[in-house]
Amino acid sequence: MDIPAELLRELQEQFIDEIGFMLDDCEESFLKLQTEDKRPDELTKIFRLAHCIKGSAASIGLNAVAEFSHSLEDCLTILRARPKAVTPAIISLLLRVNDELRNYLSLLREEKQESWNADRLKIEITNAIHSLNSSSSVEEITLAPANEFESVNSNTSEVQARSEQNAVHSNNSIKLEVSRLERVLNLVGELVVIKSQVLETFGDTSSNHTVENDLLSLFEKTIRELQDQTMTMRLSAIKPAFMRVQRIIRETSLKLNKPIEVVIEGEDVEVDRAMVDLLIDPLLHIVRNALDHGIENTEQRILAGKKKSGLIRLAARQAGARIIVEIADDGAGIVNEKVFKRATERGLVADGIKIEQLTNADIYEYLFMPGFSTADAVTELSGRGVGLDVARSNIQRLKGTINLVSVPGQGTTFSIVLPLTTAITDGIVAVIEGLRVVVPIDSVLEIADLREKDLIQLDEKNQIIKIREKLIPIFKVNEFLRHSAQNIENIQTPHGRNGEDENHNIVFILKSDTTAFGLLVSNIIGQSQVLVKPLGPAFADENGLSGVAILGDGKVGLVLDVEMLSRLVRRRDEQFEVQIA
Amino acid sequence: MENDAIKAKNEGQYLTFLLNSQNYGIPIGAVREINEFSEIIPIPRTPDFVIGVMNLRGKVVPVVDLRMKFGMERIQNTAQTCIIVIDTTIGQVGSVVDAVCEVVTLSSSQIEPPPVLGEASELRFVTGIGLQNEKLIILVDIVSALSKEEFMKMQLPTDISQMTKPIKGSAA
Repeated sequence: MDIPAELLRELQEQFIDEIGFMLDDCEESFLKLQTEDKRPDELTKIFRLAHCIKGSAASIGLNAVAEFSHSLEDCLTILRARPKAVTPAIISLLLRVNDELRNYLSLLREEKQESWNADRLKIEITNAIHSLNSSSSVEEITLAPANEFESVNSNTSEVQARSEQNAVHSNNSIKLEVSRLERVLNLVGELVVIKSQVLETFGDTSSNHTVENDLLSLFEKTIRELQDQTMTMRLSAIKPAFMRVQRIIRETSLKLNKPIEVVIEGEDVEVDRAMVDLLIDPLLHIVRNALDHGIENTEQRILAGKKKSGLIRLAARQAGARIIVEIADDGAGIVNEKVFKRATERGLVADGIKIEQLTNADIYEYLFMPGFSTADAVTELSGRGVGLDVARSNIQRLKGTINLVSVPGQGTTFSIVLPLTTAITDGIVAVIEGLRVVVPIDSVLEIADLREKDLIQLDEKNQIIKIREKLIPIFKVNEFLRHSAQNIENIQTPHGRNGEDENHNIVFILKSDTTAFGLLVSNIIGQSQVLVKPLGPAFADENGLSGVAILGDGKVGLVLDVEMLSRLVRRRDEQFEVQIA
Repeated sequence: MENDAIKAKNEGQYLTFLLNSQNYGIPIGAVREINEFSEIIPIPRTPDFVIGVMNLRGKVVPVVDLRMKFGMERIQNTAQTCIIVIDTTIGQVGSVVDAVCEVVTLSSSQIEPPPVLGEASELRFVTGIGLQNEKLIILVDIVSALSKEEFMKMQLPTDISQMTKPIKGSAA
């Protein structure tokens, strides 16, 4: 073929775009093959894909992929005629075809298509065609897989990583680097701050319809609109994460020989796009756990009077400014005694604690501890002693929380609660030691007037507070902050204060995943949405802050990281227990 | 001949400032801007010489006290106290100095090599001693002095338990 190299390249790029788009479009079709009544449509879609690749590839000299698609097309022709012949093995095969085609596109993009080798897969397709042709009966079709699972394991993750990275977008959307988006978002954040400064300086609410006021209010509205719009630009559907998890469930269920029905709800719910990728890992940990430890063997299920195939439900929904993701299985549930026994063996249970003293929540807490694993035997899947603790710390990094409820015999549901975005925090601005502090509103359980009689002074340093018969430790954030303020006590600190105790009139009860603690503040300024700026490398990691924010009046506020503070409180308590002992 | 090389390398323009009545000079290229002292917000758990952050026109910039960085006592601010904003490898960093003097141009004949000092000394960032009109100017490699490594090295993991003393024996 005598096509000039340049033109050829251009044609190849068109091919990449076109086929990439079709592959994106078909991704779901491959998965939907599992549902019987949708099969004919989806098979047709995949058939079109194969056909299209065959035609375009041959015309631009990509013969290897053209031949590959030819076999695929043959295979699909048979399947379209007999949709009932689609077995899990065939779906697996087709999913790997999907991966392999994506792999081909990324190689082609790097002009390394020569290194593509799908011979083995092609043989499997040919084998499949053979057995499809030879088996006249509709039902039982077995394949001769060339080490099916092994190849799935070794290739999938790499191939998927590459294909996700190179996902091609359709015409009415553009590809934009996240860093550029971040810059715009940052600037909008600044603009919002400047807006409130302008309003504070020039706004005059007493006189109504002056030209200036009308302009200001227009200015304000426009900026608010801009802020809302840029916020939504960060969002993207959670779907890719769900799809990925669904894939893994499929593969794992085959491997474990536990048939699973997957129900997906709310895949269109949008979250901060950075979260979608970061969610995959914890979700995988949880579903692997559910498959391995939650869902019973088929025999056990039948004995328990359950449906033969297990059920896993992935659901996402928005609740206010949070996203709730649930992973539920209808497995055996968590048996407290078993967990407690294992936790004891692992040395996770403090001396003298008896199982009767523990609530369900206490028991579940052990599951999230590092080094805990309930699998009776260490399995390849999830018995490595890492899993839920990693999942939790990943979720915490996203400023989310993870919890579970379990009913023995009926199943377990994990709930992950995430903020809509990590960049903007809804907070209460308060004053501690003359410093502005932003307390994320999510972690505030309650705000109460501080009455002296409720405060119990343990010694000169430690206080606890009694709120509705509950004793809650007071975290002296003020001392924490003052410690650093001492360094500059000669410098004018915000209110020119020099470490004298001020009057704390208000107590915030804050809750983290595991602890509740009190925070004394002297004053509340108001509620505000702030753009959290990380502190950067000049500062220690464990400083109890998730960053700083420039507040409406142009002053800098410290954004408290309640999770981190509670860890500090806990660590203090542990040391404190050691001291007593 | 090594000395000549040092001298030649250090030739150029310096911004000079005062710390403890002594003249210091930093390469003018590293200087972003000079500001009056403004509000500093302290950040918990930082090395002593990092006194907090400032709001530099919407940007949050860490601020160090160069006196403390170089092992001197912190003093009361005066009207002359300034913050020199420096471009470092970790972004802009504000440096508090007693007073800013002037920009000088030093030729190689005006620069002496630094005195030999122990590695541990904070003065290891001294690249040479400038001489101008009988005045000694200590030339400092400010970018290295404010490198990420320097910040990390100084991260003192202040233990929270030191701030709230555990109860002694009250359980007994």
